[in-house]
This record gives sequence, structure tokens and C-alpha cells, in this order.
Amino acid sequence: MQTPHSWTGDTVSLCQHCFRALLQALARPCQPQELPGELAKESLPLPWELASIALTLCDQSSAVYLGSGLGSDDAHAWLRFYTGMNLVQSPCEADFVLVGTPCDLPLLASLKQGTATYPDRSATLVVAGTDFSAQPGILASGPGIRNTVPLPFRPADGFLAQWRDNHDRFPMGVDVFFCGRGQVAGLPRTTLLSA
Amino acid sequence: MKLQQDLHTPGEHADQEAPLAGYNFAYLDESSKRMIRRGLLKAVAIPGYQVPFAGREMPMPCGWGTGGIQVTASLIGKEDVLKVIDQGSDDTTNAVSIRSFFKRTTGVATTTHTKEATLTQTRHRIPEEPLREDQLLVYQAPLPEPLRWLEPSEQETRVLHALEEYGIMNVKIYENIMRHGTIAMSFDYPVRVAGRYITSPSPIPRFDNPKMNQCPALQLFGAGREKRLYAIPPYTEVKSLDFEDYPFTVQHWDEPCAICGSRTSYLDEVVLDDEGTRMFVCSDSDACQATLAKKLAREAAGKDTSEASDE
Repeated sequence: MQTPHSWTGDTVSLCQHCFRALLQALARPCQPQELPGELAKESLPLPWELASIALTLCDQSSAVYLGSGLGSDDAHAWLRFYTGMNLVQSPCEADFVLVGTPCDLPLLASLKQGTATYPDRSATLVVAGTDFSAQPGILASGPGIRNTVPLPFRPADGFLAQWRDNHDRFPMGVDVFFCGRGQVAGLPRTTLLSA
Repeated sequence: MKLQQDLHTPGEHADQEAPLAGYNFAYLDESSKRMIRRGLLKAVAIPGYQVPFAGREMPMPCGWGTGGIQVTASLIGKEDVLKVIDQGSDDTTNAVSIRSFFKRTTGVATTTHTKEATLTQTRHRIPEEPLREDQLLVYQAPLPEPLRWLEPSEQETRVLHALEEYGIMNVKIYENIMRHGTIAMSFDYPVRVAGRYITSPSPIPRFDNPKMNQCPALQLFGAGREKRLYAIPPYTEVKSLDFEDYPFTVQHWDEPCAICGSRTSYLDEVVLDDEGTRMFVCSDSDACQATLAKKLAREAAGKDTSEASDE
């Protein structure tokens, strides 16, 4: 195995800024927030937005599944070295599912949903490579949204139907972060998407 | 309002502005912060639901806001401006000690003005000044479970929440009306968040409950002893429990604030002597000072014009 790419920046400040962006993203669904750009100029084996989020949230106590686009040994090595995360073989065991491309998502129903008494024990899906330039005319509503806001990206085929099921499972269900172009948008299970 | 500790000019005590050496930024270690941050994200995703977390020992006893402090420590950054209030006041023991704790461990700017704060930690009040979207409110919650006095078992209350079985809370309110003729809970008045979870608003006076509804700011709650986190996202429906024929009402007072004359703020009763003399003053010291300043300015302007017309 090669030595992981070296990075010696201020992780305390990076993680604090990144967390505030994630918190606001989830509290104000579908309203993209700026991610701190400390890692943007580094040459990393994975999207820098995803690397920042993994550094902020994952550590030795989190079970992580790496989905499509993150299969390279370098990406595994970087994430293991910098976060200490536990990699799992199956998406259904994971607390965090990281995916490198928005077109190839795991089925939401196949991820950890939490239980009726502990709905917080559910998976968080983080999707990189989202293009926030297109608005497909889908409206989002729910807690955190004043009236409605447009969904700021084009969802993958079949995602809307999956999301409806996920929303209906409330209080159980999966929460999703979409990141790309230096921004992150949250989609908590409470958000209702309607065309 | 200027406080003794805020009178230092920045350059004068440059050594005090730097974070305390030997400790991580904001005291908590990074892995504890990550654990709390993961919990806070789930708390926001499930409005009003109590997320268990591994509460840490803080350098002050439980009951002094250790839950709120851990949430603040996980949120705070160098650019933040911190305000801490205890029962609405910036200058009581709890507020002063928590503010100086974060000043020493982070070096961030602090303020007593609600408008200037990006992050406000509060014990038992919501500021009178309406909050904005770019502000965060962190509550210290002593007893996060609203059903706890009705059902002592944590396992049972979890099942009640899961089944949305809130009949016992309705019975409690009903019995309250039977006994007192009105809903006599004046603080920690239970709310229903986003139409699902019944949640404790922490022991804020029920006067403040309407401020939580559709609030533009994100509200986060930390309970250190009970080791629970919960949240109310911005623009979320927060309904105080009531009955159609006994609707929720807030407290009101017959007299205005004795200092600033406000009739719209929450008033504390202050006993002045042993013969029953008392006065009512604003609980929110910052709002009270602001109203007083406005009133004095108005009186001065009025005096100027009347003097001018005399001449």
C-alpha cells in the first residue's frame, strides 16, 4: 500500500466549519451551503467535498460503506488513514454510506432505517458529484423550509419514488447529503418532494 | 449593557484573548465533538426526538448547563459571537461563568446584545428580540423527557413516543384544569414539534413558547445529566398542547416593567422588603436596557422640543 497523501492543515477548524455547513444544510433542506475549501486544492483520491465531510463525521466508532466511485485502494487508504473509520462490506450494516457518483445510489430501503424506539440509529447517505446548476421543477417542503423551495439538482432515475417511501417511514428513515461544486445540500427524512 | 469583564479593550489583554494553552479549541476533544455532531444531525432530522449521546464530564457540575455547553463546544468557531443568558440575564453567575469558560477556551468575541450574537446559549428564556436565520439558539435542558413525571421508566417513555401514545399527557392537562380551573403549568409547558413528537421546551416560561413556532433560527437542546440531544429546525410548527375549550394562553401582567416601562416583555417579580413591597422588572436584561435607552432618548428629544418652543 502506498503512503496516503499527506495533509497537514488545521483539521479542528476545517471540521468545525464543515459541521456548521452540514448542520445548516440539514436544518434548511435543499438550500445548498458552502463547504470550507481547505481541501479543494489538494490532490486527493476522492472528491474533496466528500473527504471534508468524512473527516468531520466519521471515526473509529462509525461503520462506513464505500459505494460506487470510491472503489480505488487510494481512496480507501486515505479515508482509513485520516478518519480511522471502520469499513463494512454491506450497505445495510453502515452508519454512513459514501457514494462518489450521483447516478449510482444504493437503494434507500436497503440501508439502516433505525428502529421505532431509536429512529436515530439510521444511515446517513453522502453523495458526491452533485451538479447544483439544474432545477428540475420539483418542490421541497417540510420542517426547515419556509413554504417551499425548489430541489436544486436533478435526481437520479427512480430516486423520487424511493424518497417518497423513505419520507413515509418517518420517524425512521435515511438522511442524505448531496455535495459537489464546493456546496452541500441536505435532504432529511422529513422533507417532502413533489413534482 | 457593559459588564465588568467586557470592559477590556482587545489589545490590552492580548494574552487573555488567545485560547487556553494545553486544551483543545472549545475544551472538548475532537472525537467527543464528532460524536455530539453526529447526534445533532440526527436530532435535526427527527424534530423533537431525543437522541441519546455519551455526555462528557465538563469542568462544572451537572445542572449548570453541561448539556448546553457540550452542544455549544461542538458548534462554536473562531468567527462566532457568543451570548450566554441565564433566566434572560447576561450577568448572573451561570451566564458569566459559561461565557468566561468559552472566552478562555476559544478566544471568541462575546456580547450581551442579542442582535450581535451568532450563537446564544440560554438557560430558561428565549430573548425578547426576535431571532434571525443566521443565529443559533442552544438551550440547557435539565429534564428532556416531557413524560418523565408521568412515566418513570425510560424504556416505557421510548415506546410511548414510538407509538405516538400521548394520552397520559392529555390526562395530565385535563387534571390540571380540573384542579385549578385553568392549565396551570407556567414553565416547561410541553409542545408538539412538527405534528409528531411531544417535546419539553426546557423550563422556559410558557410566555416564550409562541416564539419557538416557525422561528427562523435553528434551536438545539442539550441535556448533560440525562445525556440527550434534541432539536427544532427553523420554520417548524411548534404547538403548545391545549384543548379546544381551554386554549393555550401566555402570562400577562397588570403593570409595566418598573425600569423600562415595557408592557410586552416577560417580567420577573422582585421582592423589595419584608413588608410585601415588590416590583416587576424585565427578565431579559439586554432588551430592558435597549427599551430604557430608547425611552430616555425619546424623553430627551421631547424635552428639547418643549424647551425650544418655550424660548
